[in-house]
Amino acid sequence: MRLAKSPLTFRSRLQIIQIGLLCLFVAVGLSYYRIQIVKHDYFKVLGERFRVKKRIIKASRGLIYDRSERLVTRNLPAYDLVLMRDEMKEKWDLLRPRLAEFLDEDETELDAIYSKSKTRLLSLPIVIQKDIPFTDVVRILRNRNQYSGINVDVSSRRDYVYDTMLSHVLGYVGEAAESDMATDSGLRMGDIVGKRGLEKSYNQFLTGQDGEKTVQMNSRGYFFSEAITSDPKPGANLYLTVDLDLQKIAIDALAGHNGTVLMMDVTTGGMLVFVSSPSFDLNRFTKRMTEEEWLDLSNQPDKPLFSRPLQGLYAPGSIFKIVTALAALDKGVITPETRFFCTGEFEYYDRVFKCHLASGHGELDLKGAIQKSCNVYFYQTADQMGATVLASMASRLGFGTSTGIDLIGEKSGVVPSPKWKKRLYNKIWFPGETLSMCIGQGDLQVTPVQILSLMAVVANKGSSPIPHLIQKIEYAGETQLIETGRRHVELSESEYRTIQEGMWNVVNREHGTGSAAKIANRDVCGKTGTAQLVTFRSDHDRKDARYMNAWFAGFAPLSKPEVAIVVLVEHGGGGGVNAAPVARLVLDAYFNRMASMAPI
Amino acid sequence: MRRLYLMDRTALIAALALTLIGVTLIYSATATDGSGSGRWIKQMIWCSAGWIVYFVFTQIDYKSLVDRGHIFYFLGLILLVLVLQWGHMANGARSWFRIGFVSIQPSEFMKIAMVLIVTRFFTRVDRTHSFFEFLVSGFIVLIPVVLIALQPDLGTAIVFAPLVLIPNFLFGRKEAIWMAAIGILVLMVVILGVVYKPNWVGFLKDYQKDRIVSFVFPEKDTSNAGYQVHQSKISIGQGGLLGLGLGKGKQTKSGFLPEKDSDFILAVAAEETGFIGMIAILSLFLVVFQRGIQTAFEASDATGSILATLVVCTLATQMLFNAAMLVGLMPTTGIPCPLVSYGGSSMVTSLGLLGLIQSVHTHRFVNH
Repeated sequence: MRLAKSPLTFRSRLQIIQIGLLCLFVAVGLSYYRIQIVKHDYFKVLGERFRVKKRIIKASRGLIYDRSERLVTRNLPAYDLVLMRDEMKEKWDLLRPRLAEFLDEDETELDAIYSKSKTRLLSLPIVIQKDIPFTDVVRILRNRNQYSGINVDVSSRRDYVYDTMLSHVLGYVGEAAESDMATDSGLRMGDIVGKRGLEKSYNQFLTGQDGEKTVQMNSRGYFFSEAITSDPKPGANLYLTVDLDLQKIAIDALAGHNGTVLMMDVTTGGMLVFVSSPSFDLNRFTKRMTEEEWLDLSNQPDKPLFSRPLQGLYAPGSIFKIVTALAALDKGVITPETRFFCTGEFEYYDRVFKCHLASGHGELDLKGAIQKSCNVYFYQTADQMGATVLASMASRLGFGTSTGIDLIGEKSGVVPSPKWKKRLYNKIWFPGETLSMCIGQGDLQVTPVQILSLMAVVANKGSSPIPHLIQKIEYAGETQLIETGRRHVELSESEYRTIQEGMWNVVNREHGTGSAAKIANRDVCGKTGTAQLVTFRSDHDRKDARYMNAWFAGFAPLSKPEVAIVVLVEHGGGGGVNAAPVARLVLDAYFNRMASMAPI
Repeated sequence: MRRLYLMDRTALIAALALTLIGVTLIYSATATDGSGSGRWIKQMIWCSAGWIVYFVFTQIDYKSLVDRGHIFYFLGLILLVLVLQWGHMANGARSWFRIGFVSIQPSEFMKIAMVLIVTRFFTRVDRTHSFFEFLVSGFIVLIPVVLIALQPDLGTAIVFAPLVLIPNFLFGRKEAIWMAAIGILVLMVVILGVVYKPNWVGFLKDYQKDRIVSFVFPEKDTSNAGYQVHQSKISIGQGGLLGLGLGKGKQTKSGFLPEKDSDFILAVAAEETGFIGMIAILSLFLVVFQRGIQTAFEASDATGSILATLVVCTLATQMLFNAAMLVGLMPTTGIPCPLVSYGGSSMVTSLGLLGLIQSVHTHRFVNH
């Protein structure tokens, strides 16, 4: 045997391949050397923590303080039972029946929760049960190895320190609805948003910016370490203009009647008191609420959820005489000295319009007419002036439009006029309607906040700040004061002066209808109103408080007004008897206790 | 049977060792975690089948096989067309025929046919050494590559590249070699350009550039491929010098390593047997391949020489690509490691190819 002689002509090229192959093997070997020997420690550590998962860190919602920096809205820790889909080790179909048994929940209900969140990112937890009691937390954590994927998240629950005192001011929060998520793409399912009150109107300030962390777990799914990739930014804190003490006094003064008490600092526009009665327990909304509970609350005849100052539409009654007087003075129909004679009734187009004092007030000038709230005086004024002039003054003073207070859902009310009636109902305006309107009856509808705004305009003689409830916003250590716009109603100073003096007479002169609001040396100015709710059929009706809303609106002191106030007692009877004393209590409290209060 | 004495025993033993290591690793990776118990037994069966093919090829004169190369080639093409139509879909590719409980991958067997047809083409009597011939050789390889790429199985398609490069390098015209070299150079410049200076490459669309970047740098890709390489590197790095011990691989056991018994089997080896084990496996492969080249040197004719060289280059490409893929040097494209990875078609094909080398070896004497 002998080896055949190599016939190869490409021997040298074959050698190149042979050497090339060797080189490639060495190269690959070196790359393994680099990873296995040189970087061994690095990969060893990496191998220990190979499960890296993204987790959202919820930003805490801003807190709310009252005027004196007392905490009124806080966040309490709450425990949510969640399912982390990226930690599940078995299919949902297998886990579901066992989980349902463990949690004593309906299987279909669990499935509904699961499938609702199916399309979301895997790293976002699915909340199965909200705000579970601590005993359940322990039970779940002890058994979580058997139900891989379930966990307890520490979240926060909004808690309102004074559960009913500030309900209509603060409002409450809830999970974002589909409609919220449609308008704000940044919202995720389960995010908390304001639903009512300041929680809603200042939602974008209160909401923080969620952060993100990466959680590293070992091979069996136990926590190993975590690193925060972006810090959560907490929401801004809000400071109310409302003073809790005054608010409390105002609530007590209303003594359980349905109605509202509003008090505003006329120099800044800050609301000191904002009471809507009856109220409701805010904390009922932050816990799980059944459908029944909700229906029960929203169907109560007293409508506790309804924010009367903003959304209640009322006839202003005699308080509107201030508008009538301003309109007539401005138009020159009357002067402060113009006198009319009141016989107790006013015959007009075959109809008799009565004054509230059947015997009549005799001869009165304007201030006297305001003081005694004489209907006949204003009937005659309005008759000479006409409805259009009156309506346009009402509009100038802010009726028929929202005041712009920093709450959502404010109603604008109705200022009737011949044009308005023609447009809306295609009917002719009757002259009698002008008379109804001039004393604040008829189709006229105002909100208590609009009356408050009117008082502020009169107190400030024309230029008044728009009412608001938040005085400052604190974010990341920086405080920003809220500046509110102003309403201007340019009328001559003497006209305002006349009205102010008339209102002073109401409270401080003998036979003034608002004398129940008098406080010595405080020069309270005001106007009462008794708005009738039905057409009186008999004199007996006239005395039935159920058919009348009691109003008092005013400001104090005369020389340098500080606050404006509005009191409305629904079905309360006469304004002078029923609303003025409430106002006196609140004003008294203001002057006594809050004289030392720092101006904002 | 005399020829058994003439066999290259070193190569035989090295290859046998590799297949046994493969079975052991598959057992270690799958038997204990319940994910695919019995796979190592199946692999044993495939090994036996492969070794039978190996010895059968050893006995057959390679020249008669090369002469029938075109038959195997067209048979293979038909199978590749059929598999596109009636193949079984798995892992996103239509690459398998299912016959009973056995899956057969025609693209693997095509490698044997390809080696034979290319050898036949370059050893014809009427060779012209023309540029046209270079194009035809490219075309012969291109047809099955396109068919396999359509499945789509890019990995297997890439392994066919040496079939056109190597013979042309061995005795192609200088121009062809230069052209191939320039072509590869241009391709590399474009790829580097896309990766490092995307703005300079104007003729590609953005999404095309993205694909190239994620192909070259799986780490930059957050999708599946990047994750796989990441996990595989952790496995390999864990191993260190001596490894964690057979059956004790943490990554393997906890299920983070993908396809641990097929494409990523070497990562299991690296984790459990360490750098020492990797060196052993690489050395065994090197022995098999160097013996193959040696056979090419000693072959009785150019046909045998080219055949052995092509077999070596095909298998070496596959093996090196697989090993480089695990450490992120090459993109993840689904190339199994020959002889070691789980898979019947791959095992039978690899051993069949090595059997061809043995055939060249046993027929190296002129008077036989």
